[in-house]
Amino acid sequence: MTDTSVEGAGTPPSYDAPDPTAPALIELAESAGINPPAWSGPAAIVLADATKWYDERKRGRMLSAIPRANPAVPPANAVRALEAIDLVVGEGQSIGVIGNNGAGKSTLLRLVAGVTSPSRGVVAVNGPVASMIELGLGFHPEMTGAENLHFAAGLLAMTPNDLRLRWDDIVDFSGIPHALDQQVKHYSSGMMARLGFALASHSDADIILIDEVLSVGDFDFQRRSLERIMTLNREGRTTIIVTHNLDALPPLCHRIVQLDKGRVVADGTPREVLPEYVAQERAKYARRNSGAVTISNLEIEPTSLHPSDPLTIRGTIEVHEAMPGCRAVVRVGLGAALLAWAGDDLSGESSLTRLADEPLDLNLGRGPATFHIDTTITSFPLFPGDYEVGLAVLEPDLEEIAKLVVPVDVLGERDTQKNLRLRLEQRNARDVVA
Amino acid sequence: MNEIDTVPAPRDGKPPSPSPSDAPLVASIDTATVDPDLFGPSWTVLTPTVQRRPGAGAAATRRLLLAWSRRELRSRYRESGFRGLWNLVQPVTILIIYSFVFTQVFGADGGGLPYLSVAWAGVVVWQFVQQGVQMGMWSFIYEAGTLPKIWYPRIIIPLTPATAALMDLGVGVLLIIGVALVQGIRPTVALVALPLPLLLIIVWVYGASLIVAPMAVFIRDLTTIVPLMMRLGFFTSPVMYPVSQVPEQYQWLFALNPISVAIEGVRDTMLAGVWPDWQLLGVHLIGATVLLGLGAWYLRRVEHRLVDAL
Repeated sequence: MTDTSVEGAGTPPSYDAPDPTAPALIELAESAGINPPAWSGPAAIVLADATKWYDERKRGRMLSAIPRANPAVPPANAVRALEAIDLVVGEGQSIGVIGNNGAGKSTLLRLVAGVTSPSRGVVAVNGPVASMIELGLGFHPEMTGAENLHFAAGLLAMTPNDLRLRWDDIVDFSGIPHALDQQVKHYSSGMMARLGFALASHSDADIILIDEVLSVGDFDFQRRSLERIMTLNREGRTTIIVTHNLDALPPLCHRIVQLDKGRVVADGTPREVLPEYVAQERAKYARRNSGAVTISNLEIEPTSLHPSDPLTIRGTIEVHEAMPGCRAVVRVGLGAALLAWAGDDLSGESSLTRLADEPLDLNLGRGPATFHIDTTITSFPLFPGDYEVGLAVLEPDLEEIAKLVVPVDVLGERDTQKNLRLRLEQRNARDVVA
Repeated sequence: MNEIDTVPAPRDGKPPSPSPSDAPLVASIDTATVDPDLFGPSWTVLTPTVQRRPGAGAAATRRLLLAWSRRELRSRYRESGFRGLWNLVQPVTILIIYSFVFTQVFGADGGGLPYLSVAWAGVVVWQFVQQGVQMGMWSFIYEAGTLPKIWYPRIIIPLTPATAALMDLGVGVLLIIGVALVQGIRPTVALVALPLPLLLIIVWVYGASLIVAPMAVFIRDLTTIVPLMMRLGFFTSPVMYPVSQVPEQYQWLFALNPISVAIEGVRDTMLAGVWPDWQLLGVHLIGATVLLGLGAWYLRRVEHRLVDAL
């Protein structure tokens, strides 16, 4: 493949099929002059110590009906989506944001779009923002495509006159002029995306947010979308692109920001960030699927107890190769709460899960070994219901490598003194590899 | 390496900003000490305590509101066979059923005016209140798709249902004249005062929507409480009976109710052909304007939190 990204100044850039290996693309992009290392000129987006937490409690939501200042300290159980983000984006700079699910990419886009306020810090954005976070935003299913263009243009700060001037371009770009008089509810998702992209990409906004829209539509449309984004960027628009399609990033972005658990963990040119990220992810994937750790013999005792009695959990962890920095955790939770375990306390229910009293600090880094886990959980108030008890091995960043979960039915009965006694019945264990 | 061709920015010909009030240079920003005042008026600046936006401008906001109200009207009846006729089916049904109940069971009458005209005037105003406030209450919750994705003037969302309902109100008022003519009522010069009670109810409904819509996002219980209040309001407001039919000692209560004042104002000017109670109308117009201002203020204070609560 030759001219990947950029041609002469007058012609629009073209985009060829991406080579699956990011580094090759990076080289091409760099040799074409994209990715200047430092950025001078005015700033367009500034995030300083930007932090966002969500108060998931019902009480917290009701309190926000009172027109007072946001609380300065996070409430207990607050879900932390972004933590102390410092990011300055220059005018005309194009930033790719990468990171695994739950890293905070969407919250970052929400802050830049201005739809929510930071819980701490400052978010400042210069100029109107066009969002391609969802294609077909503001479209009404009962309305025709043409009508929807009129209605949704208002959301993108386009006046009727702007729309009139660009109508032909938009319709041409969408490639569905024949369907403009059909109701949008009869559109395929691809048609909807085409029309939505065509409209959003013809707005006048200085700042363009793009979230995972590079993977909709057929190949031809994807290619034209990428070219269109490059054109917008060449016109001097500031763009933030969130995608898992790493191959698309080098030709589009001057700079890549990697988020992890709400923090910026890498910030640099595609060459600096992407290969490292790909290597990390590959290693993580390999480790998870290597069978390097197995968990077995999960036992819960006693099987008959009073609600506030301690619960002992035993199990065996076999480590077949060195796992530096990894640790084991034991957890008990009610119902589906364990779905959100391992430091990923996303839902309100997870307050009903509890880690073992003593954190298990096994040194799994030494190499093959077998560990017998014997831990006690006190003060977890059991009551009749469906629980899950689990044992897991976590990586240093708290991602699970292996997990064994046993569903336990807790049945209530009365003993001779009429006190509540609980009987624990194990169902079949589920072996979960994350 | 040919940087001039390929590096898209900084924009050509744009000199670095001379003053820190415009766009500060990237290199000059120390994220450890960023001050919201660093940014000029074209910036959107958000902190936990400051929400400053350049503002969309009144014209753009109005245009968006009208476009969304038109969309609401068009989408509502596109799929139904009778289109706009459905606008009338509901109020007419209410009129028929409740007229029967109120006249035959409760012994209500028009207080000297033809009952049907009196009741229809009440139903038309009431339907506007019902549609505007109740649909307004749901408006942010229904708009959960676009709210987290892009910023646009939030005020248009709670005002769209009431604005769309203005059309029904207009048609309804024309029909009051029709019904009144059929029942032998001839308009008098007092008809020129009709816009005042209508203005009262419109301003009041807009104000109430601005408060109840964001509140319903934070306090979902409102979505059950408000319909209940509307039901109570239907009977405690003089929709199906004139205030003159109410025992003397309770009439002062009706003077407190803006919906009642508006309905009576419509009846006075259109049916009785007398001037409305200026004093009462004036006081309530001021009250409704205060409510509208309060609603606009309230929405501004909480709009940045809506997305987090949806």
